[in-house]
Amino acid sequence: MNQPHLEYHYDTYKPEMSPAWWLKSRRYFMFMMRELSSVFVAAFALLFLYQLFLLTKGPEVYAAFQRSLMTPKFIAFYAIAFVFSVYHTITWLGVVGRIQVLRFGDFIVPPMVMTASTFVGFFCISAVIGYIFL
Amino acid sequence: MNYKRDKTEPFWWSMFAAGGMVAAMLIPIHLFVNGLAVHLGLLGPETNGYEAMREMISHPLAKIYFFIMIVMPLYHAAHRIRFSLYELGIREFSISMHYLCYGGALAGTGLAAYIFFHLL
Repeated sequence: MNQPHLEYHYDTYKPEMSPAWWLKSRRYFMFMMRELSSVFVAAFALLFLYQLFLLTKGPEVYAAFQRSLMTPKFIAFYAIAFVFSVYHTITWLGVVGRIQVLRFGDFIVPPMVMTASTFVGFFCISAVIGYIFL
Repeated sequence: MNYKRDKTEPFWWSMFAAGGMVAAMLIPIHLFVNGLAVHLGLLGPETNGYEAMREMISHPLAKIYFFIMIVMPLYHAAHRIRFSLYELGIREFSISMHYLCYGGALAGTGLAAYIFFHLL
């Protein structure tokens, strides 16, 4: 015997979240700052691209742009971007041990070693780049 | 848009991961030697001077290196901006968030490719 099809009305649960939810806890705030770090990193990448582009415009234009970057506004930008980029590095390399598992047969490399090795890599790469430019 | 069903998602996710690694490994030191240190006067302006940079960028490997260093963080940022806007409650603009964020990164890639491999 066929049961009559019952029509249920489903209400979709829509959590109401304030756009300022990330200001309510320090952890949420740091999470959003980590997300924001990418904006500063991308802004520096584009600024650096523009700087390299100006190499095609000759030494005078390039030098003038270099001088314009020495204003307090740009120095503040570079300082803030540097702090954000270091924060990104710490958070990004900090999770490597948790998300990247390296096995050799039955042996699993401890997460701490994975994370530490990426930081060692970071310092080695930074030293090489620093050496090239200095 | 149901982004969970989107088949392009793994590609953008992998670009985000690769970009995040490039940004983590390379950006702080470049921000320092190509930006902060020079502008604070810790390094001489000749570090980033026209002659030095022109000579460096003339090498094909340097072009590829700087191309990757500049382009990959754009994909990383595109992904993070997209999801940060979702988290702030901004779901869609009149243009899809996909096109807006990843399109921006693709435009940046095209621009960088034009500058590095055509102009420079």
